[in-house]
Amino acid sequence: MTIKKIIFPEGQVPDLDQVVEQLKNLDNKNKRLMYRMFILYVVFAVFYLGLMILNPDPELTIANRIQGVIYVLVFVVAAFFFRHHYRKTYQADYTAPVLKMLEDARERHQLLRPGKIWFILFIVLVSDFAVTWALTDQTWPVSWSLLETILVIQAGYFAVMGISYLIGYLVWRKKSRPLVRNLTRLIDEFRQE
Amino acid sequence: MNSKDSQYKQIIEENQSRIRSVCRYYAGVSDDSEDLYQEILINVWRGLEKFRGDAQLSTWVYRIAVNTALSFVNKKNKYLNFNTYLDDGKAANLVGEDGETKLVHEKQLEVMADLINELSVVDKIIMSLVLEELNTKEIAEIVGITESNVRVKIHRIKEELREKVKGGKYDY
Repeated sequence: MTIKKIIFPEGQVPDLDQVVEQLKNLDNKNKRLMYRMFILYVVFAVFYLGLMILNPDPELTIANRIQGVIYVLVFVVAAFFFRHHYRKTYQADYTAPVLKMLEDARERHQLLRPGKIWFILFIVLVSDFAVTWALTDQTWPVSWSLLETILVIQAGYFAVMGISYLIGYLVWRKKSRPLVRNLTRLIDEFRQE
Repeated sequence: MNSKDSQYKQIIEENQSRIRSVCRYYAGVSDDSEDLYQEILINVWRGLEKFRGDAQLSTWVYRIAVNTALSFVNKKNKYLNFNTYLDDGKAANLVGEDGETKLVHEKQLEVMADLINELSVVDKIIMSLVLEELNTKEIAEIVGITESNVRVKIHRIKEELREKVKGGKYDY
């Protein structure tokens, strides 16, 4: 159900007091939901971290434990980044001047923004490190040297990353590129004297 | 009732006609107009915490209304066409300074609406604010461009409309 349907269930604008009441209820509900999600997330992360560090399983080596901790940390950092990105993307500032709102929207919908590139690079490289470390510990059916094993892992890892990027690019090209072009046209027209 | 509630109520009560006017201008009397109005009410509520008082309240409300109209997607998942609907009162704002250069007669409203609809989205936004009797400074604050740029644009748009009326395409 959309926010509008919750606040205006009959499709018409009711008495202003009712609108205010509905808006406040929705704000409180959202706040509670966000708080619960945050708590759930923290509990899950702490539990999993504890499991990786304190698990008494004798087959779990120190290396396995450190790899597990890196996965959890990458997961937590990525989740916070995407939450922040989602908020910035989908919560436009309607109170800004029209030109500023359009410029912000264009920036948000660009495929690669400087902040986003560095962050994604960081996540990809840290994950690469953890994955490579974990996989070189495994027994391989072919007797490769350590360097060969690392190269094969890198080839596989970056092929998966490349395919993921390609899928992301195709989705962006279909959904966001026309919007970015349209916004650029409007912005240029506004600026033109 | 806390201060946010009362401030919101006051803003809506004082600016209801402005918001309605923007909705009518961009969405006519269709269902989209009511939907757009509701969306603006929600965005005013959400934006209330950002209101610092450095702009006039009416200017701030217009910003939200125009920005919402620009990003509004209707039930058919389509952006608004930005088709302009003029009424008698608004059209009077297109009148020239001396009366002799009067651009719009009431009976020519429909034609004028057609002409405005041929303008670009940006020009239509500027014209919507002119029709609301806002001055250059207020329009500049809403749109986020310089006052001189606003003046240039208004002058050019009015010239363009005059030319079209004179050009024989619309003979009265």
